[in-house]
Amino acid sequence: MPNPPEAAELILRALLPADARECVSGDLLEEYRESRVPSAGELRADLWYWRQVGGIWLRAYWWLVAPVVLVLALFDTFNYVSSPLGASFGLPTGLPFAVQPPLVAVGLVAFATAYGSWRTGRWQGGFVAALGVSVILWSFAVVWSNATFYPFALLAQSDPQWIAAWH
Amino acid sequence: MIVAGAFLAICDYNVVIVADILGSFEQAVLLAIVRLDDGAYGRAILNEVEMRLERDVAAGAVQATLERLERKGLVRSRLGSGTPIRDGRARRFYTVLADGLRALNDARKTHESVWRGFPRPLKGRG
Repeated sequence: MPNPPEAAELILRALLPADARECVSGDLLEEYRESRVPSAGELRADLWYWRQVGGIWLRAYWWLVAPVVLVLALFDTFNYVSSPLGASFGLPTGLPFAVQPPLVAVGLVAFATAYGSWRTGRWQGGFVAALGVSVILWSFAVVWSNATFYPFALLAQSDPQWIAAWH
Repeated sequence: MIVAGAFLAICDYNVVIVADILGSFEQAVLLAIVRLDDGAYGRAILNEVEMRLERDVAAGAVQATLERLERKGLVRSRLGSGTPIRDGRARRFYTVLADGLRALNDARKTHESVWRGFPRPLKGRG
């Protein structure tokens, strides 16, 4: 009988709380073997399986990541638009701006680890939660910095405050 | 006066919550359980919902909905035996409770009441 990707299977079982682990992984395995592989082939069935695992992760942890990503994007935009002298405004914590994003990221990963372990009753659950949060934060950082580099540079070139600041 | 107003507002809020207790996806999942009767377990429900909605549905969405419906007291579940194709992993079978049937009937009544008087299919003026 065909088997889904081992890594996906491991992540899925780590991701699910004890009472859902057997049933949900069994449902996916049955669907994979009985429907997906015969109708679409093993490669597409593997992709389908990975998508299901990703969806289950997102449903469990999206609320951890979405607000942080939103706040980071808002602060970054705000700092570019409002700070002609290069000063950066962060959260009102009294800490220097430079340490705030790393602290937020580390705090979030630590919280995800604790929450994931508590939710699933296993340390592997915390690891999978933290891993997902890290991957999403890094991906966001890469995409965001690349996507905003050019528009923010254009903004800086045409903003009289920025031009005055350079002079 | 203010207290009376607040009380009415809370009552009104509760009426809205009760009337709007089921989303359309929740209705699809509940109806799938009713249709499947004794065979209503995760994968069968997923396939039934996909067939009725005519689109791919994520297994996680169905699972999350089933957990929510169970928390609301609209369905009950019990563990069944596994089969070789699932490597012996247990199946969780679902049954709709009386409150679930009531919620479905309420949702249908609301739906029909909202649509009453409109021709089918709905045509715009443009």
